[in-house]
Amino acid sequence: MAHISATDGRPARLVLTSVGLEETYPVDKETIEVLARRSGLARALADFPEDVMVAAKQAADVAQKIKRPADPTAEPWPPMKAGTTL
Amino acid sequence: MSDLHWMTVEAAARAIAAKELSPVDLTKALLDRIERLDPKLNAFIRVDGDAAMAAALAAETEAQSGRLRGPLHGVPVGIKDIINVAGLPTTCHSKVMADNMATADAVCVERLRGAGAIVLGKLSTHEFAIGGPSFDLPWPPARNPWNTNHHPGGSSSGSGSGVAAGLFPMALGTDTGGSVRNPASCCGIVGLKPTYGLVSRRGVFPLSFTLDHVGPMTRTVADNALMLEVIAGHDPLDPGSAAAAQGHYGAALDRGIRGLRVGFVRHFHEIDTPAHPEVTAALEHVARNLQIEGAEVRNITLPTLGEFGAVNRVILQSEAWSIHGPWLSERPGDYGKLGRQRLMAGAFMSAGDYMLASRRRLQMIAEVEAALREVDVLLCASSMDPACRIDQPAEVERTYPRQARTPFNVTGHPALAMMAGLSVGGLPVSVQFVGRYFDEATVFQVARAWERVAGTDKKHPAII
Repeated sequence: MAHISATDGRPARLVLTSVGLEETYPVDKETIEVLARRSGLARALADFPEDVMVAAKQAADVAQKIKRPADPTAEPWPPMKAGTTL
Repeated sequence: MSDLHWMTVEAAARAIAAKELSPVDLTKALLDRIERLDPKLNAFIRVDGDAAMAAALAAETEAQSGRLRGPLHGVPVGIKDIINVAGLPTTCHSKVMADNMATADAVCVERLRGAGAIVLGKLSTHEFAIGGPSFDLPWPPARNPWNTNHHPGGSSSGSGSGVAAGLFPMALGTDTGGSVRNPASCCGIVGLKPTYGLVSRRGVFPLSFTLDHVGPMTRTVADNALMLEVIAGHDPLDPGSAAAAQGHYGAALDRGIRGLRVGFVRHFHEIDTPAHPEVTAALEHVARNLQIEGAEVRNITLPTLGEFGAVNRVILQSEAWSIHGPWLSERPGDYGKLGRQRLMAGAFMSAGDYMLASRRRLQMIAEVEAALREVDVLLCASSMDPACRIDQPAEVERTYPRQARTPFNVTGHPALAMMAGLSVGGLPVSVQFVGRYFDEATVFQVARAWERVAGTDKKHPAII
């Protein structure tokens, strides 16, 4: 997930990790707002701020539950296929 | 002929072909039942009664003159409302799409009509096939006919509710994280997520391009196989469509299962997400009975449900965000709360998350493939609990993720959910069978063996 520098002079920190969102809420909230605006969710942030936070929380730690492939060249699914038919 | 509403697809089609049953009488009986029961069930977003009666009249005329369109001639069907039916809106159960008129049938609907089926109308879903039962949408959520205080599962909720209640004998659902099999499990019917690419998705509003499947929902295994035979087949205009030959899915239905090898994925419900004791007992009962019928049952280990679920969620929410991002930017208030929360999550997934999930997905496919080289079919849980009350959002939130369906959206293997029994509270509990790619016939063969032993096709809710 994204690294970001806090605006109050504290060191940069990794956000949206599996660390409970509540524990890091003040900084994370700012980060979430930055990411939300960057994604075009300014209106949602204004009208439904709690929903934006819930959405961000859903995304926060989910990737941490996935085993990273040991092989750095591991391919994704679906594989690239040329042409118009399978 | 009494109890037309509990007729199977097979029996109705056979009676119509033999001129013993009028498609008009059958359609009229079901429309009457819908008028009487649907106010309690909310299975329909829109009943298309006039068009259905006109189609039934045409089917009757054709049948009388010996012209049958196909194996579903004159048999009514319900269509989940993310699937296009020409001339009707495809609302996706959302204010966002309330006026979205379909100009052509989805390929799966076109194939059903080509086989003679009669479209009764459009069915309730979770908004855009994601989230859960919601009360802040333009239409109310469907309810479970076994107990209308309980949810019917989703997202193909109207399909599950209506088939179980005898409003129609078959329905189309879609399944991205289990949305055919969840309502099949909650409502005690048969729901199949076919092999990825077997049924065309063209004309179906997407949720997640690489996880979406269209599947048949029926009251019997044989009807499910029959419906699949009609809707399966290559579609060159669906980029995900497989070139596999269409199979005769009901070919092995009554062969029995002597000698078949069944892999029981016990850790799903015993360790990863411990199931309700009644579900655990039902699964053991199914396994024992398959052994009695001559199958060899052995334990199989797959990746954990937690990891399968994470891979599914990252891919699903990332792909869904690519579809919904512009609308969520411009008109977030037109979504219900649950749909908005679920669909915005993709905005916070990174490209790295998506690639990680996609790479792990390929490994998971290899692991399930390896298991299916050792056995012919997998047996595992579907839902870990009977359906909870629909008016308890915290309980819905707690129990909805307690399931073992998403693994097979991730891997694309065919997976069928059906009734394993009834809970003490009178609600269905379920079992899931999973097969090799394009080997739906063996999945049906095992499911039919269980159905014959348990008589699940004869169990209907008491709703009248």
